[in-house]
Amino acid sequence: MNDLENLWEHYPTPEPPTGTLLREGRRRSRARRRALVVRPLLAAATTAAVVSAFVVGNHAGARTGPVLQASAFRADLHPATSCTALLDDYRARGLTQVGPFGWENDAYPFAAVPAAGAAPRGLDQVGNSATGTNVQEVGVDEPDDVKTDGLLIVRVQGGLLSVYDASGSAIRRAGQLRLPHLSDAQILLAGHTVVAIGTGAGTSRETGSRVETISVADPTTPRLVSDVLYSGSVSSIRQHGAVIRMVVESGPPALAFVQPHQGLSTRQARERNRQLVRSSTLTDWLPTYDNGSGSRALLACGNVALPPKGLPLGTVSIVGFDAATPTAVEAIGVAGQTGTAYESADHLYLTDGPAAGACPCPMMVRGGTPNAAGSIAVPCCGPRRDRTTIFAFDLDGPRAVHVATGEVRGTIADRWSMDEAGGVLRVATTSTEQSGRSLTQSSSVVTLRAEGSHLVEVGRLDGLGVDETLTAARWSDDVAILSTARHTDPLFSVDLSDPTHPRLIGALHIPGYTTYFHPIADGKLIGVGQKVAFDQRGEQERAEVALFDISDLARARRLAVAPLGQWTWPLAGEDPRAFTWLPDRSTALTTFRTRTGALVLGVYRVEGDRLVTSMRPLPGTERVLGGDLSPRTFELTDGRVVLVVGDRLEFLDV
Amino acid sequence: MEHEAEYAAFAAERWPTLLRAAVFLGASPDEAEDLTQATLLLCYRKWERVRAADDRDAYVYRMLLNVLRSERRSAWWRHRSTRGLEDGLGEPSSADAGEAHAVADAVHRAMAALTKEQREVVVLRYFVQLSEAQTAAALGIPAGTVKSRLSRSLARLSADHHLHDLAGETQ
Repeated sequence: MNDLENLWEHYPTPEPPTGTLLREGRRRSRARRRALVVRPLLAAATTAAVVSAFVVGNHAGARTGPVLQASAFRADLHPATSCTALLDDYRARGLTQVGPFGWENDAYPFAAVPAAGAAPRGLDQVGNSATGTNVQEVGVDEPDDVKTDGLLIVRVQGGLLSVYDASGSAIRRAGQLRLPHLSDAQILLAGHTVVAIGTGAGTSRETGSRVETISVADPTTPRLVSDVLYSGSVSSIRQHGAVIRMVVESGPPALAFVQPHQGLSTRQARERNRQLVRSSTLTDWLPTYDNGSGSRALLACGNVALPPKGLPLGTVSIVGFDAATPTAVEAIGVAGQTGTAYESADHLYLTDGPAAGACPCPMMVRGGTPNAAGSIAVPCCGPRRDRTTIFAFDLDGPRAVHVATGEVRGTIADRWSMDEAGGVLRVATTSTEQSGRSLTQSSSVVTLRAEGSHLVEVGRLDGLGVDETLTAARWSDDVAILSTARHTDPLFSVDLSDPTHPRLIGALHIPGYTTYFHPIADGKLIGVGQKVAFDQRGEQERAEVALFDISDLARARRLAVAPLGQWTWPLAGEDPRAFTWLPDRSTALTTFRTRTGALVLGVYRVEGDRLVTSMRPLPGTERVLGGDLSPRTFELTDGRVVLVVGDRLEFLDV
Repeated sequence: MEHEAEYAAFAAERWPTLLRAAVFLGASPDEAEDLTQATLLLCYRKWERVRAADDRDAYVYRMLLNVLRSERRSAWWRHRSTRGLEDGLGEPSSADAGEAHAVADAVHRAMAALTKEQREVVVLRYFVQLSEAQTAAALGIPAGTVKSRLSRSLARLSADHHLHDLAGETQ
């Protein structure tokens, strides 16, 4: 037994104060019941008022700020004028956030799950990316652990890259390559180049990341072409043609902080830690990369912008490179950490502030990981900064140029809450209003447009789902479909044809809420979601798939619903890559988790107004909890469908 | 409350591990008792949901982290932790108080080499011995990240000799 284990064992724990806990629990619950007596009435009244209470505001925000001309930052971000200025800024902000235990206000950034795609924009029928992944934006591919060019299948699993030939009657493994320096890898496919991005196994830097490219021109012998290391963690990866873009987050440096103990007072510890910050260097702060010719700073000082107030300490880098030349990177950065990244065909938007996940709320976990991409978790921890800054970048090949900054009220839960069409950014926000001691939460749709260097709010629709939680959003050029959950689980349709006046067209109240929407042909929409019921045994949950007709937005209808058994959860809400729409077959494939952890594949054929369902258990998945199995389905060039789950990779008879 | 007996058994059983976890996460012995009580009171309030949770432990440790994060930031908590416990929630531990402080100090010194994120993974996965999936759920991070973060953290700790065998150090 080692010494820490020894301390763990020998920590003296007093008797559990069970009696006190019971007494106090009872007392508090009595007090709460008294406070809640009016609540049902209030809820009923609120519900009735929801539909009439939409307020369309028009706040053209006028913001002032210096406009700077710099190559990478056109808008109101100040690039550092010199390395000394940059270091001074890091130190000065560091000093405001260091305490006796080290960094205070550690934002507990939740590791973003790179990838996780979902349907493209538009309530036009949505297919899959060219590499078989269900993505958010048409033309913007997302990483996954399996990719196809229609004939070859490439898969990364546990540090092993496998290439399969799927042109014959059976899927045949052509070649393999071990990637020993990469863990948790995700891949992209550009022609015959596989780009594998993950955390570096064995890199000395904490949270180091690694980008390796592999040529599969000869599928029998995949060949490692390049290997680039980055300090920091990759929080977003997108591919536009051959250009790969990553958002790399680096936290504040891990200085050798002390903590108060019996020989060191709190004040002394604080002073010692402050001294460490004062003597920190740019090497501590700036992210690095190493393309094989030694580690060096990823960002030149003049390519780092000094952030507005309120951004957590650290550095975010926007890195771009061509899959053919992965060692030649373009990078700019902001000296702070951001939250969510959304990429349209030609813009990148970064939001500051915690994504909903930074404020974790166990109550909102519905059979899955909160804040996993695709589903929208609730910001549920008490009052905090209720504004979100959005940085907009123009994308030009591997280069990114900051063009505008804006701010909206409320928080933006995840990338699915953002969408750009015709130069207008539309976001779904959730904000909390405090009156007296009670907090009211509601959602809004806000439209923003770049005017000069400012991202200016041009329209908004407030009051969506009062006291409800946004669970899913889907956008087309003219329409947004939003689902919220708690009391009444409505499905809202919002008319966006005039960006200055987002307008609520309809609200369909149905039991159960949707966590993933997928538009299909003929004005129909498939919703994957969850139904929660309460009975004497407590909360009961089951997954369900529904078919909606939204051809008349004012009168959206649910045409059919296919419920699963008790205690089932859809994976598509957490990770839209677990959903595949096969347009030619008019069939959706998506996976569910059951209480034992086993996975079930649902096959849903849309026949007119009906859903013809067949459920297929996926044997061998019982023991594996979580999303580690990454069940995937995709279509090959010849129309055959491949199922990948665990160690299986086989043709699926649909 | 329905199922109160079940709650009581649950609270009594989880108390020692939650308390140790709080200390290893950086709380002083008094703070740790406070935080553990707050967490278990939250469990009382949400007992139906805790019972129904797919994985009670992942859920409860997530609560502990939330309580730790939110309470640590608010100023009143600092007051409170120096004042001892209010609300008649019991006496601050006395018998082993001296030893508890000494152990906590040693733990905090050893864990100081880790970032908060690393500490959380080490505490939940290595000491509390949640499964990888439970740890991932409790921390809201992918299971793969748990694995990689844990291995780095343990490497860091062993580099600092904190995981060496006590016996081995004399070799």
